[in-house]
Amino acid sequence: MAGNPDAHALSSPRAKLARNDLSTPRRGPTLIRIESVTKRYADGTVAVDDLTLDIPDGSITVLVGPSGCGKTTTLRMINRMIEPTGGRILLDGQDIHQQPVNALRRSMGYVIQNAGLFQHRTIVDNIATVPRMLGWDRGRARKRAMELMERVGLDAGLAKRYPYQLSGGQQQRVGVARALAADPPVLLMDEPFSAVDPIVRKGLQAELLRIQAELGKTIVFVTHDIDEAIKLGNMIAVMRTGGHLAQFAPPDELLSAPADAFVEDFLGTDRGIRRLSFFTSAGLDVTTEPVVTTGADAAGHVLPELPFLLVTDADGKPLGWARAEQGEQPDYADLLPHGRPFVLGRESLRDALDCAVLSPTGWAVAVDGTGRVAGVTSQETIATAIREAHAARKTKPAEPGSAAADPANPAAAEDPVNPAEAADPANPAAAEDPVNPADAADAEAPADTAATETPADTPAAPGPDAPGPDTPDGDAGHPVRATR
Amino acid sequence: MNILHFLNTFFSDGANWHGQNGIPHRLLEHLQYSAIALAIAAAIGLPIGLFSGHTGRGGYALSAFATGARALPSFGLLVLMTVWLGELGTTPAMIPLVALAVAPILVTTHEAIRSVDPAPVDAARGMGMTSLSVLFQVEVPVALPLILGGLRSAAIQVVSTATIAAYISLGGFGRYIIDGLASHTYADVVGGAVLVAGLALATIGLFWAIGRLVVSPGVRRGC
Ligand SMILES: Nc1ncnc2c1ncn2[C@@H]1O[C@H](COP(=O)(O)OP(=O)(O)O)[C@@H](O)[C@H]1O
Ligand SMILES: [Mg+2]
Repeated sequence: MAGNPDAHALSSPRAKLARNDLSTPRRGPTLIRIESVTKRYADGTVAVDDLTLDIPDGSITVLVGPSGCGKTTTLRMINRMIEPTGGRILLDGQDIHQQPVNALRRSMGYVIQNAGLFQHRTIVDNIATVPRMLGWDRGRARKRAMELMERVGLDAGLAKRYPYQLSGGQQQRVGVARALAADPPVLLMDEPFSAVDPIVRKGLQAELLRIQAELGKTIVFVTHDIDEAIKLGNMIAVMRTGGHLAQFAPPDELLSAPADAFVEDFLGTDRGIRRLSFFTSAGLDVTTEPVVTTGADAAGHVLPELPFLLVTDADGKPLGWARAEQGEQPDYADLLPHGRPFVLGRESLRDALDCAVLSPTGWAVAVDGTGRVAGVTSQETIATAIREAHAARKTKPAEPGSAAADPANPAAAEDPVNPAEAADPANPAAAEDPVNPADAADAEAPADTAATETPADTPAAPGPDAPGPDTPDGDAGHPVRATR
Repeated sequence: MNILHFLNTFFSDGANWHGQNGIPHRLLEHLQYSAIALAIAAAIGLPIGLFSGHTGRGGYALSAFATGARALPSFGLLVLMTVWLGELGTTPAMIPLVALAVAPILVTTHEAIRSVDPAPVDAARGMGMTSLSVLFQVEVPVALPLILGGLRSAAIQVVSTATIAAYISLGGFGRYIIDGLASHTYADVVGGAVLVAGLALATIGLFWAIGRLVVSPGVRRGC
């Protein structure tokens, strides 16, 4: 099921080329290249000023910046809704100005803020719009539309409804499905989730990452929300008023090395903490010593530095913390809550630290993908892991400077610890998506309960290359994305 | 003598139901003048209104024209046309009727297209729809209730005003009114007026039915 576009969905030679690119490690030419582009409106406003940007293939590039900085203008020049007044934009090496405008637009999905659904058409017919324009017969277009409804998480029962009968979040999903319907290699999204409430937005973001893990589109995503940018972007272009590019970097690098005071200010506080989201918990030291099954003899389990024992049920799932003194049996009936555990290897050091800080004992509970306790760990141990992760990155050649020098290759920049894996041709998904969106989707899924859910319940249907839940992306240093 | 008495006299008169001066024949004539005038007005007003609404051009010219057209006295125009063209069949009567109907059609259509939510239009253009497809597949279906409203007010005005055709020896319900006035047969005057009013009401009903038929439930929103 996943990922693969029916061959028929592609109409133009360019689209075919792009799809071929997806089936091999994406190291080919950049799909979209913005070259010294300037846009001066008729009234003299310079919305975009000499912008050069290589949009990497098969990943999400976010344009972020304060309102009025030229993000929308930039995006709309890519599908020629706006014509630049200087410079040029290349798609697959060809100047888009030379191409028939409607064919160009049909090869790019376009999603806007309030979805812009056609209120006179049913949901299924809205989604089938582009396939119908491409000449598909009605039956086939509707069948495709139904597939897409499922892909974006819409109940099939909504197919015959009209847009006014859907919530804002559902309408936005329809907007995404409609943009994906003809399986275009490129997706342009202009603040698609800005008009919905934060909870719905979170769900839509997770869904986008999940879909992207399956489809590997080249997505240009505009937002004014830096948190959304960091959450979704493989690469982030921070723009400043006047249409200037302030910095173009992967999120991790943006957080660790903002180019200037403007970017630093725009990123806001907590940069250090937020960056921990990119450090995996995979190599973290956990101990099973102070973990006991309920009712069991606790002798020899109590650590000198921790006057508590973590009690599990017979299945290994955490029940709570019991007060314990060396050489005494704990009271299994009087437990302190264990709080939210983190999934070892799948969630980040940020999640681990958060769990530890919130824990009544100051120790975080680590579980495996099935919710069984993998061990416990202290704030000190997590702090050590954070220092080590920083140290490991500093020694790697791919850090800041060189990553910025090679914006077309975000994968290398984002996975400095494990270059061997990044180059593994047998595992393109891992190579291309070190920031595995499928995992992020898992970790996000409904509110904060993901960690305790069994993997079977998680909404993600990872592509064939995505690691299964029982083999959390094991390699140390493999960046993870998790709840931010 | 009250109105009911006039009506009774008029409608129970067997002579009013048969032949050249019978209600069925006069109805057909009246409908024919109205339909032709409305069709011509729509053929002029709809394309111009759709085009100007779609491109956003000519808005000022349109409102100036509409103001002018509303100020034109239909009856004066009729007399003028007859003097100028002679009694050439229905043409002198058609011109004031068309002039009357074009303005509401043109202006309402323009406004209806202008008032369409720009977001779906932007989405449609962004997904590569041609300009004509954007107009007919996105703008018109959503603007349809307003466009029909313009056609409906034009139709009502035409149906009411088509009575003046009788001034230049044409048929239609106007015959009863004009002949009745001339011969002081007030029952005919009242009967003719009631027939015209009934036809105007029927026009409203017709447009309501058309609306149910052609406007998408997604646009009607369950109304
Ligand atoms: N059609 C236009 N004519 C004149 N100025 C415009 C037009 N569209 C946008 N602008 C101006 O260009 C700048 C960038 O706009 P935009 O690209 O929409 O910014 P953003 O999407 O980042 O908020 C703003 O100053 C805006 O006022
Ligand atoms: Mg914008």
